[in-house]
Amino acid sequence: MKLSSKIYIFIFSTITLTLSLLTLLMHFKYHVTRADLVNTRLSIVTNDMKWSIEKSFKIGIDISKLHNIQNIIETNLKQNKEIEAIRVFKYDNSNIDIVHATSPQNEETYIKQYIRESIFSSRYDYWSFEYDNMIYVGVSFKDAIGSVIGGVYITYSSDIIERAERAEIYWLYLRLLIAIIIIAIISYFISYKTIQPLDNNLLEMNTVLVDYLDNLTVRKNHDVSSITHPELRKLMLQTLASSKKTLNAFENLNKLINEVEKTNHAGKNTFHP
Amino acid sequence: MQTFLKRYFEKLIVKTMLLTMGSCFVAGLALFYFHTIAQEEMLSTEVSHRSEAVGYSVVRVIESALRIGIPLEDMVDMTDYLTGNMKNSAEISYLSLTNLDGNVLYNSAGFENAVKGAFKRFALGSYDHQEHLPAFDISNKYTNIPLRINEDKNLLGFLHVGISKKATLNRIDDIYYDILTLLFVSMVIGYEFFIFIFRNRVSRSLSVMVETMKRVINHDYTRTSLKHTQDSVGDFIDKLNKLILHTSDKFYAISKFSAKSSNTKTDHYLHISETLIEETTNKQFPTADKPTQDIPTPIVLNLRLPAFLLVLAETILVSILPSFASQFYNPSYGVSQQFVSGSPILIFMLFSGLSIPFSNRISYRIGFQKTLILGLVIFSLGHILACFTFSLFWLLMTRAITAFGYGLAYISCQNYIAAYAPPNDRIRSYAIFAIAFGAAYICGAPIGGILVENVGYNMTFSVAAFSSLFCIHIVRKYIVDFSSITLRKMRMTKKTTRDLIKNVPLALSVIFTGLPARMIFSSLVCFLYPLYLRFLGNSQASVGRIIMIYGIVSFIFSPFAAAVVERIQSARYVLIMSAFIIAGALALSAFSGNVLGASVALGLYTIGAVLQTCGMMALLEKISEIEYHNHTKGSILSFYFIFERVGMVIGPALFSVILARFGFQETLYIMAVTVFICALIFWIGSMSSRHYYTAVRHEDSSL
Repeated sequence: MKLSSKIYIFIFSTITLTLSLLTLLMHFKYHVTRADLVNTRLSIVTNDMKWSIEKSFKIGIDISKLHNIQNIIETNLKQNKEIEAIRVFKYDNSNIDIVHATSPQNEETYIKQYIRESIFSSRYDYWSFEYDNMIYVGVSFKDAIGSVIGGVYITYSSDIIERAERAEIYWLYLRLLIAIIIIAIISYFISYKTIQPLDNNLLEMNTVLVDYLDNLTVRKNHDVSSITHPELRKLMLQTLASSKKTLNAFENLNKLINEVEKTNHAGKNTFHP
Repeated sequence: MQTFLKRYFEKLIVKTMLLTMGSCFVAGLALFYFHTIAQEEMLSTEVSHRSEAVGYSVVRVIESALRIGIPLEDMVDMTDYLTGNMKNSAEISYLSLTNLDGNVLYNSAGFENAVKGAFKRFALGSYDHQEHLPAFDISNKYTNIPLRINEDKNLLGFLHVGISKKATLNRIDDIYYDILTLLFVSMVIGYEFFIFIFRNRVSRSLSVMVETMKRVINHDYTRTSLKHTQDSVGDFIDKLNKLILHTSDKFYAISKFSAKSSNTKTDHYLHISETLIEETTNKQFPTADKPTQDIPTPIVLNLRLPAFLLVLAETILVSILPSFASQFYNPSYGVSQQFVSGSPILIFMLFSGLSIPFSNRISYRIGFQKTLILGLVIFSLGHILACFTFSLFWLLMTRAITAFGYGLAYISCQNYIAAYAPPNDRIRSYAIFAIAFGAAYICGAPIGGILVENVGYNMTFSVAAFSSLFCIHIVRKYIVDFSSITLRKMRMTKKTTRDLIKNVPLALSVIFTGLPARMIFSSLVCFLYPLYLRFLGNSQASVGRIIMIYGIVSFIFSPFAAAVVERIQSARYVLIMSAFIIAGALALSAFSGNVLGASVALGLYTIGAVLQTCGMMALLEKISEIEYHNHTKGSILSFYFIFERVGMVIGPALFSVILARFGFQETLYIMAVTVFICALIFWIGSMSSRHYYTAVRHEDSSL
């Protein structure tokens, strides 16, 4: 593989990785922003309900025994078409008990777990999470010392957010693809222009060295003028010269040894140490 | 390597890097621009809807008061009520209640009389049968949304919701800044990967190629080179190896003959032997028949990516752990919720500190690479177990495991640098840790926040686990270690521990510069500055961005800090100078009392902190060189890191008490004075042992 191809692959991979990561994070960020805005809008509705409900339980009546809550939540459900269900719960010793609801009172255990997590992890005065295409937005009721004693939450379909988002996300990823293609083409030309001289020099150096290795016994002068980079050419010349010098010395030795052997062989009859 | 050629390769690296990062930046900006244009309208509309919802909420309350018979004109405390409703909606400038003639009955704080005329003009219209009233702009400053106030379907008045255009734009700008932060984060991650791959797959093989050619030029045929890559450079190295082998074969053929015949005492053989010796005097040949192949050598710079991934995996979680822990809060624990939310970080500090003595012992016993892998395995295991967290106890247990692994990995990285960094590059090698830390600090927090909001806590822990597992792969493949037998000679003994404790220059430096610096760091960056910036009126997002100055400055300044330390040559002066910079930055921050001053001070503080780290490393090097002939370098480092961890635990505890008692600016002044006094004590105390602090300057010769 050419060095320039390899470097180009690295450049392309890095650009693809960086832009993909950026796009993914942008996707996440916009989703969060949009969901936040919708959630804060709907949290105002839950805050409204909280305001109505708190008036009642602050005089000391248990939430589960307040009969007007059912009317409050059903009125709110009718007024907000986006909302699918409203539930009021009691929070006691990490247990969540649904005490009033516009739809079946049961809530799955894992949803309760998510509610518990969201109550304490939220940075805002409301909390929200998404599960199985449903978005849960709620606010908590707190007692005089600030401990959570219950809350109210609404659920709505995430389609409200996703419908508006779908087209934009499609365009976002399409733009990523177009950007990668454009950058791939541009960086191909620029990287080749930048690395091509080194690549050519390396290829020439390889050719010269192959030629040198193939003709080790010939000792011809190798043409290194095709290596355009002066420092590399100098290095190549020095390498070849040094190698030639060593091999020449060995060759001379070999000749000398052969000569001596011949002399020795011839002199066997005359010389007796 | 020839300077000219070195510069040529360096230029090539810089050009390629600029091309890659430049392309990323331009394409990223283009993506950002086109996407934000499309999103701007949606965001403005959504902000308006939200403000409208606040208005409807107010209208419902007013209408319920009207239903029980309170006249619109006789309602009490309306200014407070209206102002209270604007509390969480920064974009609402005013709420104003008018009658049908447009006369203002009640208004919130922030109301300007100039808008009254607009209300009057609006009231001239007929709105009896309109459910939704038309919004209108007022002097290009506000978008006014009028809402009906009805009593039994009869229109009695209007509630005007004034949305500040500037505040809406600020909110949108906030989102844009967040996206630009993400662009920066993505580029830093891309850069770290690119520089690692490029170094290992391109510049290293080019270096090997040139080194091999130089070896042939110098008639050194003792070794063949490792072929790192399968490209034209790798092919060339292959051919050079063939040449070395061929030459070596020739040599052995002759030397065997010479040896065979060396007993004869003829003049001819004597001459041959002499020629052979003369010709080969300047040449180096292996003692065995064949040249040995080069073994891979440890390259300290290769630690940068593993260090980055290690710290990234941890920083992803730092910002989310307090909120994650607080969801397991139960009053029956008998501690405050704040304590529970801070407990994972506390446990992490504690266990990573406890692991330091073990790390040192293990790393000198089994080798640095193996310890690093062991640490990363434990670190990953902690993250994987954290994915299944169901209680506070489980979370704290996983944090303890993670911290132990982190400590092992962190110390073995430092020991690796201490053992293998070339003397002329040692301070710069320590700086790579600061760079990796800075880069990971920039990236971790925003990624962690976004991940949690999109994929939840468990998946975020999985991402951290994946990052550390990937790190193991890199360490296995690219971090080369020597035999543990060699390393065992360098480990700490009881005698050296006793010596270290009694070593006055070391004690002075650690107690009066290292310890205060770590105390300030953990207090300032982790809790005091975020709170101070909030106190100065910044949003949470702005606080995050300002805190990023720490990461950015340390990322950019670390290489220069290493150069500064090498140039100044005296670790003592560097430590004193860094302490004064830190004290100055803290004082500036307290004195300015505004965001700009605090931001500049944070940048200045970071410069001081990075200089302090590099100076401290230079000093530890010097002490190990003079006192222990480099034998206990790792032990001295560990000795310092234990104090470092202690400082990181004590600092937040101490300064949070001071903060609660005196307030932000006073605490910052106390910090500044503390650092200043410690620096003075160190200055005076170290006068008699200056030679310990003078570093030997090495000339740079490596690529």
